This record gives sequence, C-alpha cells and structure tokens, in this order.
Amino acid sequence: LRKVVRAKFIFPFLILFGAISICVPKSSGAAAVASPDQIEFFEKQVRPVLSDHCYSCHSAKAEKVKGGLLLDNPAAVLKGGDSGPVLISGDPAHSLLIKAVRYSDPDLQMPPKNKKLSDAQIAVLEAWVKMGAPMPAAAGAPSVTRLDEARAKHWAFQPARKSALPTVRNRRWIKSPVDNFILAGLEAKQIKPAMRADRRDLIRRVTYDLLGLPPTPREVEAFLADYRSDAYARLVERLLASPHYGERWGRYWLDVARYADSKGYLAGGEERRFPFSHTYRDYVVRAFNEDKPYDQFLIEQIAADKLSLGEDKRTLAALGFLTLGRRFLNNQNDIIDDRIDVVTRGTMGLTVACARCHDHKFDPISSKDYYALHGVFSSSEEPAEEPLLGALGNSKEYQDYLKEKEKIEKEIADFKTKEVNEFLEKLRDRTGDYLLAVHEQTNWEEGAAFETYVGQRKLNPAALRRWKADLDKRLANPDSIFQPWANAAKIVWSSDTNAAIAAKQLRELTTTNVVLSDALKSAAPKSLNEVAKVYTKLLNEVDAEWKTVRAEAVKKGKPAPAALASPDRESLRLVLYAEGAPANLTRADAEGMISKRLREGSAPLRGKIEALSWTHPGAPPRAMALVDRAAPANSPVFLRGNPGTPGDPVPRRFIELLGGGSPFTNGSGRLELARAIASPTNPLTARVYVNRIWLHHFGEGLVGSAGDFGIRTEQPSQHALLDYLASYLVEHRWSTKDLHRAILLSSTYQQSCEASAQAVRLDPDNRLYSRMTRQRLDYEAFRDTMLALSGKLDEHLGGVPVDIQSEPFSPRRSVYAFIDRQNLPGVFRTFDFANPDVSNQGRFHTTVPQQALFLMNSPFITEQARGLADRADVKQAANASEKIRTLYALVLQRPADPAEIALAEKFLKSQPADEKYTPLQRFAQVLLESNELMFLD
Amino acid sequence: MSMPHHRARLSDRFLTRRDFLTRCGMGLGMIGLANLLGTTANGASSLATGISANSPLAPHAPHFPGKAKRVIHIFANGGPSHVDTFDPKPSLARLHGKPLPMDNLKTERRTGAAFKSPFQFKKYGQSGIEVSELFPHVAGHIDDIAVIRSMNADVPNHEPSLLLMNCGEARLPRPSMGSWVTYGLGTENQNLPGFISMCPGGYPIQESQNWQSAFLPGIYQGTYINTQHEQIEKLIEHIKNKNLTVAEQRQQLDLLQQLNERHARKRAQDAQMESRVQSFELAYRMQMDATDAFDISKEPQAIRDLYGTGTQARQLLIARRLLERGVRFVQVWHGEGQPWDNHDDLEENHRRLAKDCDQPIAALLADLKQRGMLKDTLVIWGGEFGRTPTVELPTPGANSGKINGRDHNHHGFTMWMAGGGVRGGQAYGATDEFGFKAVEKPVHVHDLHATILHLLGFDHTKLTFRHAGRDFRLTDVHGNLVKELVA
Repeated sequence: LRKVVRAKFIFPFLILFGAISICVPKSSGAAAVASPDQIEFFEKQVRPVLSDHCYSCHSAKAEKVKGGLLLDNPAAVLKGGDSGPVLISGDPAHSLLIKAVRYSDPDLQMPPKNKKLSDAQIAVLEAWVKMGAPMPAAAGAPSVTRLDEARAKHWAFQPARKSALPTVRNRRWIKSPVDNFILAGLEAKQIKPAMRADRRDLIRRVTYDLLGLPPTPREVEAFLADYRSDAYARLVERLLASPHYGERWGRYWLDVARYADSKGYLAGGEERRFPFSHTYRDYVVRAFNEDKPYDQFLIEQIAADKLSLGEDKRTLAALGFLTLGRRFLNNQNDIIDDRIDVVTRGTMGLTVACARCHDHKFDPISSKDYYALHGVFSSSEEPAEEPLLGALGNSKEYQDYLKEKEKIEKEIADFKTKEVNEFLEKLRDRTGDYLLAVHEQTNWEEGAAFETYVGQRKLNPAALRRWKADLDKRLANPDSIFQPWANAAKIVWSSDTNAAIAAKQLRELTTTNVVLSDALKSAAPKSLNEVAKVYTKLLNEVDAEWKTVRAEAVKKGKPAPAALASPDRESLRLVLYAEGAPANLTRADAEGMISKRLREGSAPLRGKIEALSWTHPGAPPRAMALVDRAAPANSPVFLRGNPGTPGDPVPRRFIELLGGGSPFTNGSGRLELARAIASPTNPLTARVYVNRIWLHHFGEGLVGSAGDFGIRTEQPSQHALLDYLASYLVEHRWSTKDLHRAILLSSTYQQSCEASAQAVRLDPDNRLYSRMTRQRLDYEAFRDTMLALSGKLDEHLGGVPVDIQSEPFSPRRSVYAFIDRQNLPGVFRTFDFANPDVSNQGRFHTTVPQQALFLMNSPFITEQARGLADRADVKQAANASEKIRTLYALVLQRPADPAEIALAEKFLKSQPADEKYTPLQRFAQVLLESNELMFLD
Repeated sequence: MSMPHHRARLSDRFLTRRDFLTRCGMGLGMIGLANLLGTTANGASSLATGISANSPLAPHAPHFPGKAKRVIHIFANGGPSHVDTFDPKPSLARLHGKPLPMDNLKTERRTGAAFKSPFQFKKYGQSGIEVSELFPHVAGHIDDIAVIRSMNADVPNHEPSLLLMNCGEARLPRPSMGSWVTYGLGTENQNLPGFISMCPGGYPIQESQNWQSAFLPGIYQGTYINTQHEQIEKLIEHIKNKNLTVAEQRQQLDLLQQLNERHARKRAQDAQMESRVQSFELAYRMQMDATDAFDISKEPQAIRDLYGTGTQARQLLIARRLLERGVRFVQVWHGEGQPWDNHDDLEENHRRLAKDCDQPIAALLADLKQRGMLKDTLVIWGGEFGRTPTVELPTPGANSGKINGRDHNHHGFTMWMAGGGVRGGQAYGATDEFGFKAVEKPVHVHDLHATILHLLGFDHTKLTFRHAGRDFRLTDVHGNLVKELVA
C-alpha cells in the first residue's frame, strides 16, 4: 500500500488500527487454523485477485516490494506494511486493505493508477477478511516446516510400515497375508466372508485376470478334474508362466505410460507415426513376462541409456516411456511437461505438473521442484538416429527388408541423376539468360530482392553467382567470346536507331572468334536482349553439334573426340564444358545447387524407406531413445508457467518433499532421478504400484485415485494392507509375480461374487471385501475373446502395430493395435479404452448403446460369429443340440442345460436357411453378445 | 459448498454397482428389467425411466435453471473477416491503400495498407445493427442476435485458436465445450449421441481434437459425422445390419434377453448387468431413430425450400432435426480444412462461402423460432478468430501474392449468439476504429465460455472434473460472465 506510506497524515491513524487489531488471532496468525474449505476459498477466489493485482508489488516475488507490505504469506499479512497492519480480522469495514481497494479515500487507492478492482473482486476480499484472512502456511517455496508438516500429517508421505499380521478367529480361512487384514476387518463388523467361488467361475476369473483370454474347455475340464490340494496354485503358476500374461499386464502399464503409436497433431505433411513405438510396447510385455523387478523396470524406463547394458541393447527400448507422448506441435515445454507428468504421476501418484505455473495448491510441491525436473528433461534429447536394439542378424526377413530398401534407394539415385542432368541441360540452354541476369543484377547480397529476382526469372541463384564469377575472371583479360558481350552491355540501345549508328554498334560486337562474330553480324541485334539470344542460340547449336559428334563416334565404334574440329567452335564449346565452367558442374556441386528440389522430390521415396523400416517385419528394430545433451543445463522457474518470464535457475534435483536437496551431477540427472523414484525408501513408489496391481485384480484400488496420492487423498480404510503389500513387494525383490501370488492365492480373491444378505446390509459397497466384485471385460479382453472363440486369434508375440479397424480384420491381440492418439477410432472410445494423452489411473466403465450397436451390427462381430459356428469342433458335432452344447462349452465354459438347449433349438428353427448368415451363426452371435460372456463372476 | 458435478472418484458416476446397491436396492432395477422383457415382442417403448439412473448420458439438472437447453455451434472455420461481415469500419474506406495511422498489430504474416471492405453494410431490424451484404438473410434476424464485436483470443494461428475456442486451452489436451456440456447435462435422447460434430468432406484443422473428451469418459466425445455423405450407414457407424432383417434381429435380441434374464435370475441384482440389457434395447431403437433423424426427405417441401439447397442447407436441417430430438450439443463446421481462411481473393471467396450458408443459417433461426425452440436453443456463430483490416502482403509459399486478402486476427473479431436466453438485438463491445483490436468491453474466449455455460445453467467455476490432482474446468482459471449478453 504505497500511498499509505506517502500520505503521512494517515500515520497516526494506523497506530490506532494497530491497537484495534488485537482481535486478530494471536500466535502465528490466521492461517494456522485455516480449514481446508477456507484454504480452498483462498486458493480459488482470493489468490487469483491478489496474484493478478497486488503481487507485482506486494509479494516475495515482486521486483521491488512497495511499502514493505507482503500479501503472500500469513505472517506478513498480519504484520502489515511499513506503516502497520492493513487488516482487522473479521472487520472488513475498518480494514485498511479493504478501504484501499474500495477507493473510498482518494489518498488511499489500491491497486493504484485507476485500476480499481471489480465489485466482485472487492467482495471476495471483504469475505476473506471477514473470515479472518485465512491462507496456507506459505505461498512461496515450501518451507522446511511445511514439508515436515506434510510428512507428519499425510499418510502417503510417511514410510510404509510393515505391521504385524492382524489376528483373526477363523484361522482356517487364511491362505495369504492379505486374508489376515481383510478377515480382521470383516470379523470386526461380524461379517462372514462369501463362500469360495465355484471352480468353473474361479478358472474363468483367474484366466481372464492374468491373460485377458478365456480358458479353453479342455483347461476347464482339467482343472475340475484336478483334486490335488494345490490345484488352484498350480493353475495360477501355469497362467503366470504364459507369454499371454505379459500381453495382458503389460497393457495395463501402457495405460499408465499413455502409450500411443502416433505423435498427435502436427502441421501438414509431417510424419505423425512414431517409427519404433512398438519396441517399447514389446519391451513392456517382455518385462512382465520375465518378471523384471519393478525398481529395475522403472530405472530402465527413465534412464536405460545411462546403464551399462552389454551386448543386448533391447533394454534401450524402455525409454519409450518418456518419448512416446504427444508432441504438441513440437512445443518443447509441453513435451517436457508431459514427461514430468507421466513420470511423477505414473510412478509416484504425485501431481507435480500442477506446479508448472505456481506452487502446487494442495501438495507441498513447489515450482522449483517442477523446474528442477524440467532441467532434467530439457538436458535430454532424442538422438538423431534411433539406436539399434541388437545385432542385425541374417534372417530371411532381414534380407527381404534390405532388398526392398535397396530397390527404393536405387529409385532415389535414379531420380537424382535425372534431376541433375536436366538441371545441367537447362544451364547450358540458358546462357543468354544468365548473361543478362549478371548484367542486370546489381544487388548480390542475400536477401528478399535477390531471391525475388532469381525467382521471377527461374534462375538458379548459385549458378548465377558462378556465372558472375566466371565472367569477371574472363573479362579481366581480352576475351574473344565475351568481349562483344561486354561491349554490348555498354551500348545504349534504342529502338529508333539510324543505319549508321546500327553499323557502329555492330562493329563493337566484332571479335576474333569468327563464328561468333558472324552470328552476331547476321543477327544484327537491336537490344542487349537480342545479343543474349544470339549467344544462347549459338551455344545451343555448338552443344548440339558436340552431342552429335560424340554420338556418331560411339555409333561407329570410334573413340569419342576430345574437341570439336573448328577451333572457334571448340572455344565456344569450352564455354559450356571447360573444367569449372559455370554450366559444367561436378555432380556434387549440381546436387548442392538443386538440393531443395532433390530433397522435396525424393521425400515420398525417403518416406517409403522410413515407412519400410517401421512396417517391414525384417526391419531392424530401434529404440525410441533419449540421451543426455552434451551440455546439461538448469532451467529457470518460468513465472506463471510463462517461458517469456524466466526467474532464477533451479539446480536439477529430486523433489524436496521426498528428500531431493542435493543437485544431480550425472549428466541430465535422469539416472539419479530414476534411482530416487525406484528407491525402497521412497514412500510412494511401491504403494502406488501395489495399488495399481490391486486395482486390476479387484476392479478398484485400495486407494481410489490411483494416480493421486497427494494430500487430498484420504488414508485408505485398508491402509495397513496397502503398506504390508508395499513392504512385501520390496522384500520380494520388487517381483510383480510374487505380488500376484500373494493376492491370487488369498481366500479374499477366491470368494464368490454372491454376498450374504448380512454382508449386503453391513458392507453395501464391498469396501470390506466381503465378496468378490463382478467385473466386466474391458475392450481388449472382449475383442481378444471374440477372436479366440472364432478360432482366429493370432497368438504370436510382438511386432509392428496393426490396424485392427478395417477389413480384413487383423487376428492379432488388441495390445498390438495401432493407437492413433490424434484420431482414436470410435470403437476404442465407445469401449472406454485408455486415454492415450495422459497417464491413466484406471478406465471408465460406461454402458452405452453404441457398445451394443457394435455387437449387433459390426462386420467384425459377424465375422467372429461365423468363425465360431464354423469351427471344426462345432461342425463335427452330430446334431443341433450337440452343436449348441459345444458352443456353450466354448463360449461360456459350462454345459448347456436342457432348457437352454430347447431355447436355442427353437431359435434355430425360427431363422431362415440363409447361406450367408446361417441360423447357427446367428445363434453364435447371441452367445457372443450375452451378459454371461461379458461379466466375470 | 455443494458441487453437484464434482466427482471425487471415478466410480461415483461410471461404476454403477454402488448406485444399484444404494439407489436401486429396493427393486427398481428389477422392475425395469421386467418392463423390458414384457415389451420386447414389438420393441415398444417404456424403457426410458429404467435406463436413466445408470447411464452417464442420463439428463442431469444444472446448477440453476438455465434458459438454454441445447446448443448449436456453427463454426465458420478458417476465420471469417469481421470487417466484411458484422463489424463495419468506414475508416478503412477512407484510408484504403494507405497505411493505418497506427502500427499494424502482429499477426501471423506481414500485412500492409488499410484494405476497405468490398462489401456494402446496411442497417437491419429495429435495433439497426449494421450487417454486410454477405449475410442479408441472417441480418433479417438481427433483433434476435447479440453480435459480439469485441471477441479476442491469444494467438494468430489456427491450431491453438481452434483448441482455445473449442476446449478453452490452446495446446494441452482438454475436454471440448460439447463434452463439458454433455457431461454436465447428459442428453435428452438416449437413442442418439449426446454430442454430434458435423463437418462435410473430412476433418477441420486439428481434427477430432476439436470435439475431444480428453480426460472425461469417451462417451462425452463428439460423434463425428461427415455430412458429405447422404446414406445413414456412412453417417453413423454400425447403425445398420447387413445380414438380418429387422424382424430377425428382434428375434436374436429376444433370445439374448431371455438368456440374460436366466443369467440374472441366478444372481443378486446387478445394475451393471441390467444396464447392459437395456443398452441393447436402446441400440435396437437407435437404429430406427437415428435413421429417421438424418433423413431430411421427411421434411415438408416448404421447410426444405426455406433452407435451400447444398451441403450447408442439408447439414443445418439435419442439425435442427437432431436438436429437436433432444441431442444436447451439435457443432456444424463449414467444411474440411479451413474454408474461411482467405489470405487471397477474399472478396470472391467470402462471397461464395457466405452464399453457401447465409440462407440456411437464417432458415435455422426462423425454423427454430416457429417451433418455439429458439428460446431454449443457443445458436452460436463464429470462427476461431477474425481477419486483419489491413491487406496481407506477399509471403512466398504461404499465399499467392495477389495482395487481395487478409491475415488472421485474434486481437479483435466478431461472433454472434442467438436464442437460449441471449439478449438479442444488440451489438456488444467494439474494436478500434479500424477493426484491428477489441478495445471496448473486450470478450475473451474464456468469457464467452463462461457466458455460454451460464446460459445453460452452470457456474463455470463449478462445472469441474477431478483429474491428475486438479479440478479442471472449461475456463481453467479464467473467464468472466458477460451479463449484458444474457436476457
């Protein structure tokens, strides 16, 4: 409040205010007692006003603090400015701050210079003062106390503690430590867990859970016939060992990694497809199949390039985690923001990206934390050429690839040769044009005028410069060929010239080269332009003669002549062909002069080569890698997120809340960042991962917001279980499969979906896990099931992404679908596929008619229904009822009951004998549409 | 503070299990199912009530009663010139060919001297607002229209400006206005998509990002329809079955529902499964309803004459049929790419483009009015920005150097709104003397969004969705309601 200070007569008045202000809460001010609602009010309503209108003079970030008044932290607000307090808690009418913004006193108007706040903004400030001016502890960088406070208060910022297993009464129910926690909770509420699931349901449930595919009838029967006590555990082991496990669980990670095969919107013509995105996807699938320790998995995805990998470079592909995000029209800061988000939210459930424009409003994460990480990623870059992932090998597919590549390379070379020859031919053809241009052009500086000049005359600028240089050199001495030209250029040509002058002019053009002299004489040019035409014509004739002479020699089998017979004509020829002549260029010079045309003209062919390297199965796979820049640099804090207003640079380091104090020293710092995240002492990483795994087994996480473990995320009711599993994970060498075992082998997981009436009453939303939650197949499981049932599923792993939208439909698993993040096809959206633009914390589960329309009418489903009804095992069945039984066993993995067979037979009879879509195929479609297929008990 | 649209957990709206157990626990779900199975024989109605509770598209009440119930956004993509349409600048005629007495503001490319509008302006209606000869039909409705002459955006490039206009954010993936509105209000007709985006010939610049749902569920994304096509199968995916007659498909569904009923009978009630049963019935009816909605041959000749001929007429008439059937948000783009982007030959091109759409847009306004729908249908017209009052200078490779067009201009431009609680018959705000910059009562795109949401019954600061630790909104941290635009 600058004017307060200046207007001295107010001063005693202020002392009075100071006296009144004893009603302000003492101690450290209002903020200490601010409720979350009040903080929210401050952040949403008050801070924007202060920040936009006051902070340029009244905050720690102000260039020059005016009147000694800070309005950005509670203690300072309480203290007031140079002249004392500015507000009286609860009494806006008498608070100086409010008086100032109301402009009621002509000597006390803030913001100054007639920039009065709107009534609404003033009302906000009044309301704020009325409630005692609550605001968060510190609005600048989080103070040490703020960090300590956050650690003390928020469960997820504290180390995960492995508590003792709770004791339970029904000890026989305990099959895994998970059960101790769940059963203790149930027993406390006197709820009995649900019965164990039916064995058919169980194999169906766990097979889908781990593989995303249905069990075959044989597998089901084998399991039912296995009476050994560890039959279920064996089943789980078989499934964990299946390569399809990685396809299923890898895909969940790809949701976190906002994986896509394209860069999003780019300006016209720019290639949008990532060349080797699939190598990252395949890396992820393999990592799950090999049960790569999760800490290692994270380190590789953030800093594989910094590890010593040995011969096998496949791990480099892990870096796709960082590089495969949207490209935002190549805006570097947005690309970095995307990487910061996927790393911090994806691995730690920390919403660091919220601190891009200002300190995080809820969590103790400062803009400095954000820009410390910004520096890490801006010190990293994509290498000019994606690194190869292994030795090239010598497979037939690779040889095929090389052959195809050579073919296109030859096309490119042929194209260039043709262009160069045409260019040289044109240069020789247009001597006169260049001569004229050298004469006319006075401005040889690079620039718009020069470019416009050559552009309009369609001359090559580099060739023109050579012509100038060549002429200057020749004319330094008497020159039999270009002296007439030089003379002609000096003549003042006029259209009405009398005969005498014309004769005189013609004399000026006489030269010792008789051929040229004659040509000029007989043409009797009336302008410089016409003189140029004579040169052009004559040199064209000489060039033609030279070509004819050579061609004839070749025809007759004689050696080609080295020169033309006539010395005059030969010296004219040399204008075109002498070494270093402006029209006689080396191939390299010629290519240089038309490089733009060559580049543009060969672009489609080069595109073909590039596309070949992405789409040919024999093309050597490469990593979408990242490397450190030669000179890593710290980033400044961009004030309000604006790169145009850089603040102080922040050293590259980890987030302060999680122990990041000392600057990174190894290159960009990515490896140090990765290790800090994948550390057993990081309180978030293991918890967040365990929660994600739980989420996919049970349909919902122990913590509801899988991507946000910040302060606004309440301690979960199963906190002890979450911590137990987090510690378990770390102790088990970060083994994902061990985590699966702990969960899948539990009685909790093996419960039936059917709850007792008592459980429904006492645990209506199954927060206590008194039963299993019924789950619906997601898009991939649904589509893969259709293919598996029709017998078409292609089971091989990995490879370039495929279009799964158009006919003929690809039989590959959905995880191999080409994901175009810019225009994701409707079907993906309709079935709640992951958003390929942001790290996902789970999928939505909507039920909408567009899903049903797809099942009813899409050619894909019709094709699978046909395939299903035409399977050999169905065809071989003796009669209609046997066929129905076989279909039930395949689709629903259970016997059909007599009533169902009757219903089906009645349906078959009701349908016309249509060869194109037979009654049995129509029936198969109904089974594919059924709830029983779509839901897992 | 109650925040009816604030969802802390994804599951609160999209997982229906809990809804069922709490809300439908008394058997409502089962009644719905019984009704359904009782009526399937002829596919008759009575489904709507049972469906609503569980659908993410079920109609919801906004924060307060809004005058507008539905929106049609006519997008003149490419950037129509305001000084040639709705913002007359006589000073340009005076200075034509001479430099402006101010520095030309920075736009995408270099511009030169003042360039007068080749079109005549005239006063229309009781309000006497001036409109150029390009839009005589629309001008006939000027007393229902609020012309906003002080629009402004952030940058003079198509991509960010399109995203800003549609999603309130120029670069990062954020839900579009249509997605927000459909998320906030649901839709009235479950047999049609709630948010439809029509563009003849292909996508506009920035493609389907213009109607993206981003982090909102995919169901709120605009359904793209290429209105160049006339056959229903090409307009809506999977809307027709190529192998079955309607009766045969009904038999299939009857069997399906019998199997589903047997399946359900053995299990406790489950709202997810019931919703899915119902979704097949909806889909079945959608096939007829959608086909009907897009079939403009069902319109009386007089109405078709009113709209006229051509693609714009056809798509605007389809749009009206969709709005009438309860589609919440319809966006109608002029065409693929950026048709209004006239860096060259502005006169010829603007004349042609306006001729294509003037009569159909006016017809839409008249048609909505005569049906009593204009009062609660918000009609929005405009581009992503306007054009410079100065002539664009030759830029090799970017224009053809004819020096007869205008560059992009985000500093000031015009949009208009009508119906749906808008106070018509006013020209709001103003650009400077030449039409370069909004100087009087400037309306930023964020302010426009805040105002549109207000007309629909939303406090724009409270229509939020929690994502990545933040409560996101269409207006981000910006936007002020422009009260004067509200009737």
